[in-house]
Amino acid sequence: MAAAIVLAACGGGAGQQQGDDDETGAADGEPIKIGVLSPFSGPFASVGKLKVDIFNLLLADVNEAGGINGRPVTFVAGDSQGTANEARNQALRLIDQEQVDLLVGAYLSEETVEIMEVAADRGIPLIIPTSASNEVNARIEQDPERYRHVFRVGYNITQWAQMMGDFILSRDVSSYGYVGANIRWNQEFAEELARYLAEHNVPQAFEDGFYSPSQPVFDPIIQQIQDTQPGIVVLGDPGQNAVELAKRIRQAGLEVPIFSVGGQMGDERAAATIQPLEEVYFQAASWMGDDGPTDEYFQRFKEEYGYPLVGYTDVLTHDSIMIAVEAMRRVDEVTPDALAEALAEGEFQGLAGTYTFGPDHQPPWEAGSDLSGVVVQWLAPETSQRVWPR
Amino acid sequence: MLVFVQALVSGLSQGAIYAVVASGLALILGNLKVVNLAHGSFFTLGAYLTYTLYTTWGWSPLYSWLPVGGVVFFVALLAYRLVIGPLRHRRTTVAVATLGLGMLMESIFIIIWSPLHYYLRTTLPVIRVGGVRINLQEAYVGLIALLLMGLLFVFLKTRSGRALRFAAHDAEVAETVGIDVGRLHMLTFGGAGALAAVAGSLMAPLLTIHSTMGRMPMVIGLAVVIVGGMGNIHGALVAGLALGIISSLVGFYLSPALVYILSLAIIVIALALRPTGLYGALLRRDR
Repeated sequence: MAAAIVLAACGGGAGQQQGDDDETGAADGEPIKIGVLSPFSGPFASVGKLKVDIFNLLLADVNEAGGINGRPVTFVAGDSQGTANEARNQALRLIDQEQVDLLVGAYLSEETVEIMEVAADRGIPLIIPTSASNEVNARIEQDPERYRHVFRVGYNITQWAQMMGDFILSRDVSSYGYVGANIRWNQEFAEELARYLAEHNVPQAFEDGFYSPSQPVFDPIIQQIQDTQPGIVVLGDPGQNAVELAKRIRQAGLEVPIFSVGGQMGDERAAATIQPLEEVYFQAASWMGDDGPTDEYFQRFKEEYGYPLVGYTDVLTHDSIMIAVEAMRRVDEVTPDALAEALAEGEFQGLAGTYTFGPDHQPPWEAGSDLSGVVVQWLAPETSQRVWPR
Repeated sequence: MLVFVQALVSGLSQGAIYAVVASGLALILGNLKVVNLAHGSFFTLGAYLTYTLYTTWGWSPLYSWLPVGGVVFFVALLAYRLVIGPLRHRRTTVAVATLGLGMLMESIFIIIWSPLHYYLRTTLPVIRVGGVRINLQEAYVGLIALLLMGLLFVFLKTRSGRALRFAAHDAEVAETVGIDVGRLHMLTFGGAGALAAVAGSLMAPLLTIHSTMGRMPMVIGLAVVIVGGMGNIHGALVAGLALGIISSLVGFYLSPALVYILSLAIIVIALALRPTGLYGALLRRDR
């Protein structure tokens, strides 16, 4: 029920047809269906709304411009509810009942790993915008034939840690503190970051920076930051707890630079509640600042839907859609194998840069490449600047 | 020593909030004899209303808990009239109905406020007293929470409060001596909802506001009620404060990551030693 309400609230819905002939007069023929898997209910419901809004915005443009080789594009949403089981069920529904041509999703890594198996079993292309687990690459490398239709657009944990590590190294700090939720994703990220920074002789100032996601108690962590005085504090949780912790760090009078993995810290409304908002940074796939397509997308989205983008899920979902659309335009007939081949061999332009997929179906996110990500600093509420790469 | 004092200070304000959330649950459990699984949604409603009052009229979260509590009292009364009251003699059904009510409320929150997350600024600073950090926002929250608990205890000593306790003790006998038990139950439900909403309102500047934010406080509140002795208000206060302090001590001395697990483990141990909860034996003896 909550999922239906979210979709209704977003002006979208399961089975909704986007940009059909009557509306646009631009595309005709049998619609191409994209299945969108995301949580639309529960604690991650906001991600579902975000994705529906992005799909509505972008597919309207695609259809107005003639669709894909004259065919309109529609999307059908499946509520994964933030659980692996439901993600699998919804993936099966979208493939078997809705007969989608391609899947985009999911959100959490545990959901994504589950739907990888469904996509592999059914031979349906799957484009993964965000889930960062290295397990996605490991599975593809282990059995490339089975997962030949699975591609990830966003950075994996290793790439993410290295991109953030490069920024930390650029600040010439003697130590750093890592704080995150006590969940597998955050632990893996912490290990990757520690490994990378240890290679450059930057140690962790304290070891025990994990809090319970169910019952976060922040004062002991603030005490550790105060006692060890790291050169920078990395917040590994992309969710709400990072914002709450950042508020408390500043409230406690600690002036240590704060560097978030991104996510909610990129929300200008959240940033506005951190006082003082000094030396607060976050990682993003792309950000405003050069009057380019990212600026246009961010501004247009905010005007259309009334809330700001954060530079991570929104950018990578945008790029996933554009990659999918472009791949479909490049094939004579939209079949799973043709799409997989187009994705594996092509170059695709997105907001974050130019995407090419390697043997593990992962784009080469890294400093110095065309996909380097950015680090953004909040200067004031609603005022930010890209500070990395320089 | 300084760390110990810091842990105590941090734990007390957290525990006070646990106690307020749990006291509402305990009130309902003690009187209606059902677990109110919609309790967390009243907490969430309190936070949403606080956000709306701030962004619409600039009302500070420092005092908007008062009107928020009042409004939610009537919302809870309405919920009782529509959902709980008609089923109140079927306890199992009522428990399921409260679960449905909670989910319905979460869905309504999404319709009204959308699934987006919202944030509020904290308005009070952190001060240092003898090397101990005192977060005045948290301290304020804790003090108001303790004040509310105090008022609740005073109320329970009044004529109405005694009637409430008597009805909780034996509803059938209470009805035979002219106490309108149905009305008492409705007011209890309203009061408990208001308590949860006040807790949500007070905590709103410290948390991220979204439709399911009340779930975890409710789970912790239930744990507090169980440890305190099912339906016992004194037990809720003592167990709430104890859980807050224990969580803080675990975080400071062992690991912040272990807070949830060890808190639950301590609850299990406490129940193994006193199966009826801290005040359960007293409650049984009272009967």
